[in-house]
Amino acid sequence: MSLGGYFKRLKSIMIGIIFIGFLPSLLYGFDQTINFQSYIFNRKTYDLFPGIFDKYVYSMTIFFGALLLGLFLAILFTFCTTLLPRLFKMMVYGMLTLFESIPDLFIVISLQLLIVYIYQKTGWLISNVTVVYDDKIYLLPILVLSVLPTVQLFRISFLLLEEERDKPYVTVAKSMGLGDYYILFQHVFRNVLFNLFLYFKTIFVFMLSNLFIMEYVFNIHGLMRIMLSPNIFVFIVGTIMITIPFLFLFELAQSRIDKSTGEKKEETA
Amino acid sequence: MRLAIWKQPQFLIGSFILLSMIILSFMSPLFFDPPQEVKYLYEDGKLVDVAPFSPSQVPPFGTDKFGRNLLTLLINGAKYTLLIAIVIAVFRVFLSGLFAIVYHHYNVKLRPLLEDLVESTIFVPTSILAYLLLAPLAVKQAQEGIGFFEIVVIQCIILIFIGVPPLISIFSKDMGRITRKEHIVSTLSLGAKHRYVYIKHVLPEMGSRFLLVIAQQIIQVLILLAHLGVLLIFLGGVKTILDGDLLSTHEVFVSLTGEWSGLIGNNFQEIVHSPHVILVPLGFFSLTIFSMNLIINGMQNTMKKIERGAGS
Repeated sequence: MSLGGYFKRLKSIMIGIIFIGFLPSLLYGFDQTINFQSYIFNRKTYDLFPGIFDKYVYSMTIFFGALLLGLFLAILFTFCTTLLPRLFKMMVYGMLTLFESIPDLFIVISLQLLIVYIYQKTGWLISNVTVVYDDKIYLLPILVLSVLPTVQLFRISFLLLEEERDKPYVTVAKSMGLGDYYILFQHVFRNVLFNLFLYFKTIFVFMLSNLFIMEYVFNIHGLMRIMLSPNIFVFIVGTIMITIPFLFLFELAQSRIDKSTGEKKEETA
Repeated sequence: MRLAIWKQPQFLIGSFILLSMIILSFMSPLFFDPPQEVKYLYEDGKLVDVAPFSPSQVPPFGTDKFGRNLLTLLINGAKYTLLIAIVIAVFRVFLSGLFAIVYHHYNVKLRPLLEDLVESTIFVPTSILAYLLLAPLAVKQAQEGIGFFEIVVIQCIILIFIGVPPLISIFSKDMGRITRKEHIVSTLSLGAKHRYVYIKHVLPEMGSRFLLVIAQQIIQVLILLAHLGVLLIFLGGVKTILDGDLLSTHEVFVSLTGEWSGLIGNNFQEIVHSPHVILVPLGFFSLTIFSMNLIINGMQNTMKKIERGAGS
């Protein structure tokens, strides 16, 4: 991976983001608000710098917390299902299709309501379900955000595992007399994890959209939420702040994948 | 593909649910009178409750806060929601297929401009992008009074173009893979025109892929519509009406087309008080997406079978 390539892409993405930011004025021909100092959220004015870094760290904490939790749970579930008999596996897969169909909004709202319901019945508040002032809640957002990545990652790794088990090297290992669990852990699982890695972009796009709608429903004062403010500068800065680290991760991941699969990058012609 | 797909039970079930929803939505106004709006519930001549009613009070799904029966609203809205989603998805795929040919073919000239856009849309959630472009439209509608039909068309065009850039990059990668195949290369070196190659070879080979992407895009559009509903942006614009009694009036937004996301947005403020008004439309969204997923699974199974058949 080359740093030069990274900066070149970053530059082109930044131009794209600025273009998108000013697209409404181009389309409808009115003046957009640009304010470099402050933004308005819930009828209160906040300083843009350095306050936005705080929001950024907060949103990213939730994002990565949920991602790691989702990844952990998905791997755990995949491992558990491999131990199940074939009939149960098909049932699990059917359930996954059902769960995957539930929109993120439904999950966010129903979990919020569930916690309110538990509180009403037992008086035990698991976590704050909404934010009134600037206080930060971590547990519930991370839990909520991790539901759908878990389901998705579980489904992908489940399919990959099924595919991987039919491959010749597993048969060879079996004929060599290696134990089933040994093969599963040492060889199959490793390959599955690597292949799971190939879906990072899909998962990222999907989780970012999830994060946004969750921040909106819970009224969390996070980065994605304030990007909605009419001040277009916040949108541009926020998106660029998300782009800088993630683009780096993407490039890194892509170069690792290219290296290990031995395929050259697609020809530009 | 055409014959084999009718043997997939998943595909059949999924399309049955979708079709029956659309047909029911079109037929129901012809056969059933719309039920009366109930705003107040009386028991032995005494006022017991006001709308929204829970599913137990007014079966099967209760009413919204204007006393309209939720089931009727949902069935009526189904045709708008589903048809709009299908139209947007089809146009997205059609346009991006078209653009992908241009992009792939005249790569060098157009690349800088398009690549900026394509790459940057990854980092902006679609809902935020849609909000950014659609919110000014609502303001404009309130100020200048754009017609209902016009606003639906403009909103649909925006929703179509939002989804195009990521698809272009997917399709142009596919096209790149196909045009590197031997038979295409030899056709070109024998002197075939590019247009001929695209129409005769590349597009038919991508046909099933296009269908699959259309199905996936329908799901994306449905989720996007639900998100926009929460953000109080409805297809067909909003109408502000005054609600409440003389002493405490407040403005509420009402979706004009009556599609499902409007129901979610209208009642979003009262989520804890009457959760069913939001959860039921969302449940219908889930049902639709589930049947779309079944269709996709069926399609993928058939494609796999065909590939295996060709391979062996």
